[in-house]
Amino acid sequence: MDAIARRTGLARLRRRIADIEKREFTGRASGGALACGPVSLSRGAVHEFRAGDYRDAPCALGLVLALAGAASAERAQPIIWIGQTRDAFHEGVPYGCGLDFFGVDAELCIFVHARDAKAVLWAAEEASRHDAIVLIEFWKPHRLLDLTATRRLQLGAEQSGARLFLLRDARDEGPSAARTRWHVGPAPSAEDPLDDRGIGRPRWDAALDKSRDGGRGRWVLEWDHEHKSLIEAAPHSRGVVPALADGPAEKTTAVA
Amino acid sequence: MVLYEKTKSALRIRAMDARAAKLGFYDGQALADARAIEPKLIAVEADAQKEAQSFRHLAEALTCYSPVVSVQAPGEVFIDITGCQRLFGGEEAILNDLRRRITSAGYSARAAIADTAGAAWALARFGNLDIAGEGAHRSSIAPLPVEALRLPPELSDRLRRLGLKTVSQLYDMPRAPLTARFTKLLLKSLGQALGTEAEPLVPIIQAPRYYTERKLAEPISTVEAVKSILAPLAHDLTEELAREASGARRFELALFRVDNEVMRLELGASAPARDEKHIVRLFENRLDDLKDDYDAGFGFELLRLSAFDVRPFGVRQRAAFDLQSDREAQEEALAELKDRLSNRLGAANVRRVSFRNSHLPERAAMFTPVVNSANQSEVGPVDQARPVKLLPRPEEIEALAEVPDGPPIRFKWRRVAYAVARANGPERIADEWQGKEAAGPTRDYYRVETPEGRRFWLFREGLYGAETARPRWFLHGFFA
Repeated sequence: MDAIARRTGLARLRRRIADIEKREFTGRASGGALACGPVSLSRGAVHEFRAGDYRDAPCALGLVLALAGAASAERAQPIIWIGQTRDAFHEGVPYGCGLDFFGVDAELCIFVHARDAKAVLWAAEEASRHDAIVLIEFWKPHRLLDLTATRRLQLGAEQSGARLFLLRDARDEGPSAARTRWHVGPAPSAEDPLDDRGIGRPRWDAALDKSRDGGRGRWVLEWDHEHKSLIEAAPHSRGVVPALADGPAEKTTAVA
Repeated sequence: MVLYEKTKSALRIRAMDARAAKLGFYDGQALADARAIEPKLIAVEADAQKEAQSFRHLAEALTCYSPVVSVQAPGEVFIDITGCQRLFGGEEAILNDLRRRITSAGYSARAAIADTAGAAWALARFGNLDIAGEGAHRSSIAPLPVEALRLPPELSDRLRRLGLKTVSQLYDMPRAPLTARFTKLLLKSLGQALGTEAEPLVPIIQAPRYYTERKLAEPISTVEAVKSILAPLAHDLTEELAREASGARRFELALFRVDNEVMRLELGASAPARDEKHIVRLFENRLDDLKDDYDAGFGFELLRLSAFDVRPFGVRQRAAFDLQSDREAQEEALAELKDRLSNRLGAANVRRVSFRNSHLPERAAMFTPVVNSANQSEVGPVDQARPVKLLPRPEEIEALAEVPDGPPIRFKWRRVAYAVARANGPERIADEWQGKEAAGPTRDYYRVETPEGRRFWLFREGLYGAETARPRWFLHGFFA
């Protein structure tokens, strides 16, 4: 009895220490800066988030929503969410009720369904010229989404100050003019303090593959929805512990 | 050649061409009789629907003279050309152009211009005068027979029997006895012909209050030429709207082809608009999108830009460093972006979400077009954990649960097997009480996470024992 009590007490203490020690990266935009991990995602730029396949797409989307919500909250900026009609049955459609969790005001969102890749790019370009947060879901690799296309989006964003989040397939190896390029994969959620077998705060395995500032790294990020902030996760006390120090090179091989 | 139709179990002549008329046939004559007189008669069965269709088509083309074109009986068109004469170079020019147009389309027509619709009708049907000058309608229809007053046949027959044969005879008759004997209809028709009684013309196509048009001396056919005319049209229209401090939520560009076809392009705006550049850009996009549907035929001879749904729209004062006006400018820019997207991709593809007071997940958040929708949320978003993406149709999965009413421990979706490491639930969502359509059996929703950290929203359909013996499992959404 005593031993169990001591052990659970100890576990709780460990958790508290970990909570205090864990580095906090606020996702909140203050003074125009938006942090994703220790990296700042600048305004007027395209930021690319890649995911392995359709099953990992929601992970990338979650991280992007958390960032978009923080970016939009400061000035109640609209979020323009562009997707392709034919993806709907495969990838699902945005669900308004799940956005609040990530600090996204669903009523500020404009959902755009474009017929094909060309229309997605047209809509994205139109939106990039507007001072807004733009989410572009481009899951099927397509020849139209090339260096020129991303450069055009980047130029539009530079002029308007928009933040563009381009979500695409990691297998889409084409070059891109995006300012930062991330690879997002799943990570087991944090512990649920109320339910031992339950799902806790969402976590993602985020790797910065490329950045104009030369930074690289890999973090497990956790979304604290109560404080609306992204934090670097404390090491997992159970289950799979993703390696934090892995370089991006290793990451790519893991995906391939 | 004659057209016949079946009336009262006999085939009767309904209409005929000039050559048939010369042979002395008349409307309503039995086809058998006519055939007996002229065996070489070509008889074609009348198709009322097709007739009405092609007539309407022709009437629509006639909106090139004025937006107010009204069809009140088959074969009759009223065009309100008030204020349009200048554009065509006078009334006579309009009449000649109209005749030429109709003849070249393969029809014959009688037309007349007068101050009132009633007088114009009388002149066209019974007169030999084409244009009754201003104020001359009373005298010009005076010698015409009473039938010229658009009366039902029995009424004009009665007038005739009483010796009232011409319109002028009615002019000085005391009104009260006329009404008593011939009902109000006679006075109404007379009044409408003389202009003492109002006759609203119901246009076949909604007539805009604001429009600008360009009549072209030489027909144009390229998209570039159309675009070049678009700018001055938009300029004039927006200036007119600005004078009235209003903006419009719907614009239409009508391109009138030489061969009486009309191409109409319509644009919706999410907020009243009157920015010249914005309108031009939207229409240019539309024109570019037409591609193969763009068919200029032998060219366009008239372009008309109309504004509908006109609402007050204040003059914006843009002061430097003024936060309020900055905000307004932002909103205006966003409205313009919404318009561009909606007009190019279709209004149904540019949407916003509003929350409904519904337990059913697929009904709790509804998409509505951003253009022309004022749907407000009934409630806030639900408090429970909800996925970021929902499949439009839940996909059936093979699931294995440890206990009958517990979460699954393994499931197979899209031919891939997943293990469940953690789960929350169930959250029971039952059929709605007030819902009109049956939503189906009760659903028990679970949030599940695989060992890798993928998170799904699954549900089991049906209550054990009560609703089903073997419940089915579905995957409905994705958590981030």
